[in-house]
Amino acid sequence: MQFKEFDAFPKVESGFVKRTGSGGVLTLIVTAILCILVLGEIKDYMSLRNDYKFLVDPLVNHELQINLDITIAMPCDALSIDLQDMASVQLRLSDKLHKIPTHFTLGSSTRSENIRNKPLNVQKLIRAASRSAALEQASKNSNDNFKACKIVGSFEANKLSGNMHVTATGHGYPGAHLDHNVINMTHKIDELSFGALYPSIVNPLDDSFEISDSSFEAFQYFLVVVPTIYEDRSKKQLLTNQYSVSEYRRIFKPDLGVPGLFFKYDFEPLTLMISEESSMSLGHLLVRLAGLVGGYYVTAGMAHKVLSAIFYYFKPEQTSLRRHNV
Amino acid sequence: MAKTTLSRFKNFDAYAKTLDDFRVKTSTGAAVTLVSAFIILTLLLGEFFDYRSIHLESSLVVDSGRKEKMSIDFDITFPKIPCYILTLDVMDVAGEHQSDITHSVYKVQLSPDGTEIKREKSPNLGNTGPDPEEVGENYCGDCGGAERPESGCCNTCEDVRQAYVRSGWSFNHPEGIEQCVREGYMEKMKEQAKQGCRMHGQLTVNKVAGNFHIAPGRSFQRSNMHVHDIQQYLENGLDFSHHIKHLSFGKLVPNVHNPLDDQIVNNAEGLYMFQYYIKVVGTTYHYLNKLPVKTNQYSVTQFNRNLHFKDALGQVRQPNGLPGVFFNFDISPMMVVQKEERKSFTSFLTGVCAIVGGIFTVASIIDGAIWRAERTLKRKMELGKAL
Repeated sequence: MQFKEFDAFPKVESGFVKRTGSGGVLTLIVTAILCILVLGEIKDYMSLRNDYKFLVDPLVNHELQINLDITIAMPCDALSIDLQDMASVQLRLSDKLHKIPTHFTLGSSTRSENIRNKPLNVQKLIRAASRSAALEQASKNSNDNFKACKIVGSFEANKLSGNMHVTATGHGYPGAHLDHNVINMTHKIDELSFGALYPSIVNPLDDSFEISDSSFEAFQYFLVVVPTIYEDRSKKQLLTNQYSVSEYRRIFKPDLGVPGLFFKYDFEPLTLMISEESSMSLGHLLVRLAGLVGGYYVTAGMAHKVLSAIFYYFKPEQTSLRRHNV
Repeated sequence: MAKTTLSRFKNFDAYAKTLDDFRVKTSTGAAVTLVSAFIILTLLLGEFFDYRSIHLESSLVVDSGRKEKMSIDFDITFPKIPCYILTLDVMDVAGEHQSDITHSVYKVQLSPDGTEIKREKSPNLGNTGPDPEEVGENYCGDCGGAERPESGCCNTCEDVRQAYVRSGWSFNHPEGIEQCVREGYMEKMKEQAKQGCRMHGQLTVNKVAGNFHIAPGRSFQRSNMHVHDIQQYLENGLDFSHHIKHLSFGKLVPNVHNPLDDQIVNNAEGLYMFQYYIKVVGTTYHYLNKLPVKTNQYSVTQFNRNLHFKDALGQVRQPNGLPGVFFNFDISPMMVVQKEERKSFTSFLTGVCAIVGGIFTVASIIDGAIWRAERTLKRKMELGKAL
């Protein structure tokens, strides 16, 4: 017995087969369809989808950077910014952040809308975040009569639930009691984020504003911070935090509450990991391609056989798969 | 003519056919063909059902929505408490009445056997003024010494009751009040005493943590506190048996199950406080060919406690809590995204071809092997070698 005997694909000499024109046309059509389908499969293979996974944060965390850029329609020296966390650590942020006198204007911002409306592209996001960033700080100009204050800066806080608040001096914290008519908690938030500052990532509160008509109004923001890892195809990672917010405001009678902005934040123990993944592996692609090519080829051939059998059935004089001229 | 055009493509034919003279048909071949045809048919059916069925792809993301509204649909029956006792309040997390809610809540009076008697839109509950012919044009009712309303008159029994509430008095003896006697308040109470109540409707609230509760007695706001007037019910207690037919926090979508639907609590005599702690999880459901729907799912834990107890002297103690049914809801920071997906038509076609082609090829290999084996065997038998 020879090795040849194992051939599962015995070939027929060209003299013993008959090629037909319709078969040729069919071959061309099948080849064209196959090309399109193979390209489609390859495109599928190249396309990425975002995979959402949850991990329990394995690290021991200490500190976390908080970035803030808020404009409040009150003069700077009338504002006090403080943070109080679960470990009863009090931070007087008035010294750590820059207070810049400014005018209160609601400029139009399309940046966040643009980013919000786009589908998430992890690779672009990571690339954009690798550029260094700093919060923009307007120049000080003390001559002008500014009515508003821009509070801007980044600071480190314990990674614990906490409450960061902006209050009027003498209301809530000891200090010179501020005249009630000056208090107005109308504010605009340009940036509020946790972790390293990435201007390309838009958080729910970015570019939002609230207008207050009353002196005694408190704005409460309840934030739940979810640590998030973005990972692109080349396993490059970006560690950041997302948050969800629920909010409410309330007006009260003078001296029955503390007017101000209150950001109560809490951390989720789970870390969300968003990784870019292709929808199938290379092996899977090869299996699919083999199935595709083989399947179409054989099926089209069978269809052709059946069709020509029917064709010759109605034209019996051409039942001519006989040996003509070998 | 057509033949010559066609024959130009002859050389491309990858489906060259073996001439009939060189083809052998065998009965085993026919059997293999039939079997493989059967297998192909079954697999094709499976593939077709897989193509038509809808797969659900779900993922969990951080809910980044802001200032969203949430609608609460409910339908709760209290078989043992008449409607006039019950009030519904919606509060935010700080215990204040939530502002800017829209609602359409109905109270349906139920007879003791559960049939519906009268349907009313809350809160306009029987607050009709007295008949002017009976009392005269310039009638101005006395408030029984209690704080008068802005109009200065208490023309109905309800007005007097509210004046009592404003003064912080309890409204225990309506039979001594002229307006109530005229309106037949006591008769109405007696008549309704055995009735039940079904409350149903829809509330639209801000999507922030809060609660809504159904509790006895008119509620009011006093010095930043939410208070219910329950003095008159303390002595005898109330049976807060209830049947939650339906409670949902948004539109119904497939695969979302509301755990409180058809929740029945019976035999709750005394002064029970039923607390339902609800965690609301935002859900976006993407239909295959409809716009996505934003809704909410929830999980719930329940807890209840009897506030009614008497001390050693048989005196009823002041309860440290409010009887009633409370739904405390909290909003989860995560959001579930569910997407309906179906295999594309091309991938279905590929699957079909792979099945047909694959099975037929395999079958032909098997057939070839059988045929060869048969032939070898025959040849050897002819030579007298076999057996």
